[in-house]
Amino acid sequence: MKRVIFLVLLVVLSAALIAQVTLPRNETVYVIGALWGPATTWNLYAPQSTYGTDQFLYIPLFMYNIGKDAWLPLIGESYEFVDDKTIRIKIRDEAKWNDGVPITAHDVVYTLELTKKLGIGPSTGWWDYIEYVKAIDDKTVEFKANEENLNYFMFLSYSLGAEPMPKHVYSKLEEEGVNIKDWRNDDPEKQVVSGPYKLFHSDPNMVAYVRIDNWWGKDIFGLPRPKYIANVIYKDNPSANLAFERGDADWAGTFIPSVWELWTKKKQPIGTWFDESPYYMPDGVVLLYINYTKHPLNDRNIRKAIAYAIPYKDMLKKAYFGYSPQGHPSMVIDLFEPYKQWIDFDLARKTWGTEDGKVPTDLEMANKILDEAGFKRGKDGIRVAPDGTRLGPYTISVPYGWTDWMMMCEMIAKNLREIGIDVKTEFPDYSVWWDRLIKGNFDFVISWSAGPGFDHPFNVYRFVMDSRLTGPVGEAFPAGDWERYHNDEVIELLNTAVSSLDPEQRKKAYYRIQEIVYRDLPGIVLFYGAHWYEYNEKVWTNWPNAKNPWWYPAAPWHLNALPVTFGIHRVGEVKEVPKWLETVEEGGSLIPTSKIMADLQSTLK
Amino acid sequence: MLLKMFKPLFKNKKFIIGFSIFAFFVILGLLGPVLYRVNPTEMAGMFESPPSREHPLGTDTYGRDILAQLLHGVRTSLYIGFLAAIISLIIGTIVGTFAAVKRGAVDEVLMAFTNIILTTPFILIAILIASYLRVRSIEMVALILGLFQWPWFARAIRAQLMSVISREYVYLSIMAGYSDLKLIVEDLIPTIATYAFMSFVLFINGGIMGEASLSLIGLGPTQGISLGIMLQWAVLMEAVRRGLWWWFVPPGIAIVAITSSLLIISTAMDEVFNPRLREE
Amino acid sequence: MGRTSRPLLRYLLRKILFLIVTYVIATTIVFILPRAIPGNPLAQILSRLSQLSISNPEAISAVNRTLMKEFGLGKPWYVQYIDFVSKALRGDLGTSITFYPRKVIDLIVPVIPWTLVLLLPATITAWILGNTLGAIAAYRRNTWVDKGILTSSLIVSQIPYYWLGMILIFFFGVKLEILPAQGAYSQGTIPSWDLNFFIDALKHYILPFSSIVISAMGGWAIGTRLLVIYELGSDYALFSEYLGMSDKKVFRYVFRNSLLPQVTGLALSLGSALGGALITEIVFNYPGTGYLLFRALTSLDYPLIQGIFVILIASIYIANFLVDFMYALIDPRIRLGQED
Repeated sequence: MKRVIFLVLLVVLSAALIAQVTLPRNETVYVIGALWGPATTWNLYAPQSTYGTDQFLYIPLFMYNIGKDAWLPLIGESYEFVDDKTIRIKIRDEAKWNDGVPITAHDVVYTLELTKKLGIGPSTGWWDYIEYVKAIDDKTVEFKANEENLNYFMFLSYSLGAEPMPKHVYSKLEEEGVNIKDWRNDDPEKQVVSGPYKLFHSDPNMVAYVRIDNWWGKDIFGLPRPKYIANVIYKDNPSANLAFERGDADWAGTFIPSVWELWTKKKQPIGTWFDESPYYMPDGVVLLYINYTKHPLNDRNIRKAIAYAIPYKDMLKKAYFGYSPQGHPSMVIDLFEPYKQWIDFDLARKTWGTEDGKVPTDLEMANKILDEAGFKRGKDGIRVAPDGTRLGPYTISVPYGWTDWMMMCEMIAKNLREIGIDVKTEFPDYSVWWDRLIKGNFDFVISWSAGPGFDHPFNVYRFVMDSRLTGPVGEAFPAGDWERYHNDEVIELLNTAVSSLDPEQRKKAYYRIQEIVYRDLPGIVLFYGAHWYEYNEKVWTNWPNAKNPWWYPAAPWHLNALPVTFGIHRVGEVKEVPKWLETVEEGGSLIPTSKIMADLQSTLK
Repeated sequence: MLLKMFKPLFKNKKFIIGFSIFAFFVILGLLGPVLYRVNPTEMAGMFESPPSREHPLGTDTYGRDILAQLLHGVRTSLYIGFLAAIISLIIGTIVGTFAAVKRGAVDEVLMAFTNIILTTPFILIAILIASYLRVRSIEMVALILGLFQWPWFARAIRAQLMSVISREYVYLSIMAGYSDLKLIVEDLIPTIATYAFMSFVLFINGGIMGEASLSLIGLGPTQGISLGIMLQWAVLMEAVRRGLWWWFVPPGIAIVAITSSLLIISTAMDEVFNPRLREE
Repeated sequence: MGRTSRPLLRYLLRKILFLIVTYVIATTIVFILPRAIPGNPLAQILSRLSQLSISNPEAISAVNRTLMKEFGLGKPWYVQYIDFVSKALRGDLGTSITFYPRKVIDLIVPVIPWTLVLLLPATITAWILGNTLGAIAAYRRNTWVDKGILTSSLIVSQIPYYWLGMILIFFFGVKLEILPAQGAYSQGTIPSWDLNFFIDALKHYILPFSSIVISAMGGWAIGTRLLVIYELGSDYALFSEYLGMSDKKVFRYVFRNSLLPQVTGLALSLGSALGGALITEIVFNYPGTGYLLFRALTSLDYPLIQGIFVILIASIYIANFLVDFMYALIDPRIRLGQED
């Protein structure tokens, strides 16, 4: 008995000697909103990877800054247009993997070829737009655009944005016969990365990354300021938000109801991009999709009436807490200065009768349109089409749990019922909703499209109206045009827009598309999905915001948010934002898209 | 005859207390929404405000009045409880009586079936079934709950009935040529009437608690408000850790009050009808 | 020797057989139902690609086709079933769809201990405490001790575990701030086998443990009180009393006999206790199986759903069997071959 006690004491004492490992608070940036489940894999050749892999571990040749519409040369140093369809990119001499092996053009070529072989991985789909990629020498890689499917946007995006993977690691896996898609790359000792962070620890509660202090880029860019980046895995938004409110998290990317109360009422050192409505930058155009294959929902008059019936401002204030202004019906995000040139404001003003061209909420107008088109009200108040089809019962649906969108559905349904269309709300589980969406089995849904990017608004028009992306109702087509709108003229206009380098031609194409949009209304623009980004300045400060926009996109989950870690600093320890974050005109390294496009155009002369 | 059976109940102190509390909530559920005409789903705009004169129980994250939600919720939860109880009672009675009367193979099969339901963790299967249904009406949820509560009841009345069947008056009825059904209805059911009544009360309990559990994890009724749905929204919006006590405390108190009052009623009935327990 | 062990053996074998049959039925239902739900298990992955990815939309269709093949989602359900069973018997519960390429076993193993460590000690503690209280109440019938225990049990037993959890969190975690309001251990800590971690985990354990124990205790107390009252009025008890046996001794025998149905009751309650524990985990953000299960259900992750159910149901049945085994040892009637 005495021996047992002695042994127990020994075990307990020796256990106590091993210190408990906790991340030091003032060297760690805690993130919320980016990871909601157990870590999966740190290998990009998989249908999904753990948060952090694409953000911090592996970096591209050039990284795009949405706010300045400019490109940051990371692994890439410079580019050269051999002709208007061929680009050569020089890789920095200093660029090395963290195991010392240099990053070469062969890595880039290998990476893309492997993706093509596996069907999944970095730069998926490159073969549709790039004819070939080859290594001119160890540090120069050449991309040629696919002439048969010429799309300048995709050409630039795939070449400048290519993200090399370590050839020496993956080719060895191939030789060993490992199934690359199943390889998790989860051993911190063995990870080979190009970025300044690698995996530190992962368990069902948290994933943590640690800075690589002898990162190859430290003499060029400096080192990111936080030693650790950790994401605690919360079960849902409210739990994560609570931690953020208490200062247990610093960098947030979640939906927070009434966010302004955090600093006005609760006096927390919390901020968002704007310190007043809409608080957030726009991340994507959100539309009300109305099934185009259902009669009589594809009637233009009904769609127009619906557009007038939606309570835009009211629902954005009540359900969305004012986080977005009403979207512009041209499908162009009108909050970014460079995009305004693509909007035909005169057309919008004429069509909708408002100063800013946005659709007003006018139930009288909606009723008038329907009355004049011959949709008479039945005894139950619901209208009937001239051929006898009743306008209902229809459902408007969004996934269960998306509370803000659920509220909007309720408000829209109420107004539609008032103009005589029988609509009920339905909130199925996410995977059921998604399944119906991509198969075209719905009446009305609210859903996303595309967002700001250097190919905006082409990306939205393509997403919403390109029937080449979709197929018959009942079959699953996840890529876009869920409402199954079909218009050959639009397809031609889209092709023109991407294959021409002349901005005037592109503008003409966009203006014509807008005419078609107002006429057919394949989807009705509602609002801009917010770029969820909040920060708590309890431990770290100098976060980018509207008054100090030194980097955007700033949300922790965004693929291009790594530079944020270079500019923030601990409270009390003031450090400057590195100079290279400015554009070349201001003495930094960022190359504006306009310069790249100009260079590209000059090859045509 | 029924009246004579139930009169002694009203003399029992426990029964009176339990019954009054329960009756209070029934009235609250029936008349509450009629008298307090506030729409529980309307967003009044004052997000997350504590109890005030305008909103006696405060508002939730979307500005909806909590008192209105509570009144409608009590009504829905009681309704589901009753419905589930009726379903369980019917299934349990049928299974138990048939097993006792028919005996033999029928008995074995029915008891095996009962045991399967009894051992399987109800909540897991209920979750599966509830996920399967696209739109879950209140009645559907009551059905799911009703399908899982009856096993212990069926076993109990089977045991009771089996002992009763061996008695003389039943023997006489069988000799007189009564069909099985007539036997069941006229001789057997009255003997288990009081037990059935007590179990019914417990079933209502189970229904209300079950609905709350299902709703809490998002598998309750898809339309409407119930006490469970109120709790679900409160947990969803982190009401507890953010200190919004007016949101999660009232529905919980309602659930506890209703279910414990029913339990008190059932205990009182046990005491009145069961001589061994009567206070001497 | 042979004669006394055979009825015991027969009893146990019958129980095992029953459990196996029920298990097969239950797991088959678990297999079929999620597939009957009209939804797309690839939804999460695909829609995430669709939202986040700046690359072209056609890529998503390509990924869709690749994944359908990987997971065999196009094959008929009976083929998938046979696949599943043959792999499961070898210990491979498949690969999760939502968390691809994590293996189902890999995902479940780290979280099950947290559920079991919460469920089992709490349920057993509640059982022991509740039965003791109930017996005391019955023994001191009609005194204020009895009335107090009975009334409080009647009310407390009807408090749902999770709501009690909410109240405890609110008082101790939010208002008084003396105990942690969520989680199994402090944020940013990496679990390790040392005293500090153990104490930290214990601090986080108190509230969820208490909410289960307090609300489960009441039910056992009420039941045992009734049973003991019954037993006290039975012939052998009265006779022993008349014979002059001390109260305490009579009570001991009565207590033991009353306890038998409660042992069976314990086995039966494990199923519902599990449900309560899972929901309590949600309220406390405790990293157990509850969270994983709900994620799997909402994203229709077939392999993960099956894996969790298979393991959870097996655990319940095993626990059931263990309790029945103990019961067989305690109840002499079984050894003697009498009907249970």
